[in-house]
Amino acid sequence: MAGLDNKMAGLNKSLFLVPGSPCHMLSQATQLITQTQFINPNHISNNHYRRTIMNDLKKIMSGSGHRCGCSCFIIPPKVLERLSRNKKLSAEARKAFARTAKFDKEVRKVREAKAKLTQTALATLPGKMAPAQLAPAQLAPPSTPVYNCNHGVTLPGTLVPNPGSSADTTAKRAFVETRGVAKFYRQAFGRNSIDNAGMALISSIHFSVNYNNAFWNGSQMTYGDGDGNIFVDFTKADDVVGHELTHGVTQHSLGLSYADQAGGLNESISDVFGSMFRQWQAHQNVNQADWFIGKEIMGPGAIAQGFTCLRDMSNPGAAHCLAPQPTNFSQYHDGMDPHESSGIPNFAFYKAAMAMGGKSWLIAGKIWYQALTGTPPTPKMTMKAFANRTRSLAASLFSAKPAVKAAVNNAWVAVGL
Amino acid sequence: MKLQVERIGGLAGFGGANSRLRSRGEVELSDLSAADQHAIESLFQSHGTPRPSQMRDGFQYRITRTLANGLETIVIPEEAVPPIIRASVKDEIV
Repeated sequence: MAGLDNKMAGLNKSLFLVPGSPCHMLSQATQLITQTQFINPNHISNNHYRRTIMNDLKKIMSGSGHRCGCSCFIIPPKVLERLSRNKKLSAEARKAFARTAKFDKEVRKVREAKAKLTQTALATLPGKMAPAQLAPAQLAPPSTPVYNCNHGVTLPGTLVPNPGSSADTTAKRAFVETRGVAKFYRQAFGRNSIDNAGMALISSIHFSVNYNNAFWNGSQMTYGDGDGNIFVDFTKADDVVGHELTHGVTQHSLGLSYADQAGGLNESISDVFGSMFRQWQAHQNVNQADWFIGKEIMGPGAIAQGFTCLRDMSNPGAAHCLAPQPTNFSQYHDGMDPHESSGIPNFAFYKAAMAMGGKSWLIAGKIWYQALTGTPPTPKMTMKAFANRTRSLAASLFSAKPAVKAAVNNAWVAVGL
Repeated sequence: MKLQVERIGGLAGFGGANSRLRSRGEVELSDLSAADQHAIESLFQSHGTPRPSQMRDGFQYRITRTLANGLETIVIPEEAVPPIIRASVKDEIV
């Protein structure tokens, strides 16, 4: 533990000045470490390392013809080591690669130690990272800073001052919707931010040029502006914001991997909570909801061809989806993209919520939330295991309402689980 | 030698079996700088082995080259792809 503390403190002394639980400190450390996926000088506060690495990267980039106008850089360690021995490169460049490889190795050690510590904390700390035993009103909202990448790929970018009143509508939307998601999790499920320990919710906007994507990188959300044809600004869809933040919740709870059945579940959970957030914001019941994912980011080129959404939870295979999905587990096979296989559990959630009626987050949402957060991390969870967990929770959480258990069971049976 | 490049995944699920979204391009290897050619060669040699990552909805790139004994393909995360390769793809609805 002392060694780990020293390593973390060496990277950023301010980490351990943040008030809060040990888990909160862990989450702050996670942010720092995982953001080095795109090596970012602002997040490496050890001046020596920062100067050395950035100087190295600049040298490498200038010598290699790398001209993206940014300071992003990530190369697999084996490649770095190979380049450090490549006689065709200058001695200076080889040294630079060797130093970068060494730094990368150290960061990985800290990340692995952090992951181990998180697992230990989840298993042993009193309350198991659950300060949400407080009433929702007692939980202070997490901070929601917004950064502007200015069409570069450096994360997080430049801090936007007062994003809630920014003239940049994208910044304002990212701020408002992120706060909305935090409020949704707090009010509907008593959860205090992504990690249930008040973690800051960082958003970066205007990422890259004509970038048709939004992603969660392990510590923050990032949004592209779209190309203006197939897609428009990804902050325009509140379910997309909810989807990305929910990847963070999954990371800090079930810890689902991103391949095969667990990957499909991971994606589905993001769609389910993203859709529920959209319904919650609009005060919709299950019949009023359209169950679309990504309706508001469809660009004119996609709309002109009859596409209305990325995915439709009520009809995953529909032709109006840009990415139609399977609807039954019989269609599943290992190796499927998680964005395809998620159609199966998505359809099950839709069917369960429709059978229960009312507001989706009040009963079906509570069951899915408890299945996501109520047990230790299970990275390789199968869809069948998740289905059975929701069956069990439906019976225990709503024992006075046998129709709930029947609704959940019937929904999973309908999708072949 | 030409490299065939396809960007896959992302929130929208580019390149999926039933997806209507494709993002493809190609790059002439000889047009790349020596350092980029080395980087690409190293990626093929390491078979595009991904690092453990918490990235979700990130793009990946499927890069294919033709060798004497057939095609060789690697799949690597966007962060590892040289910018010139990233810039080669064009998004479209098919």
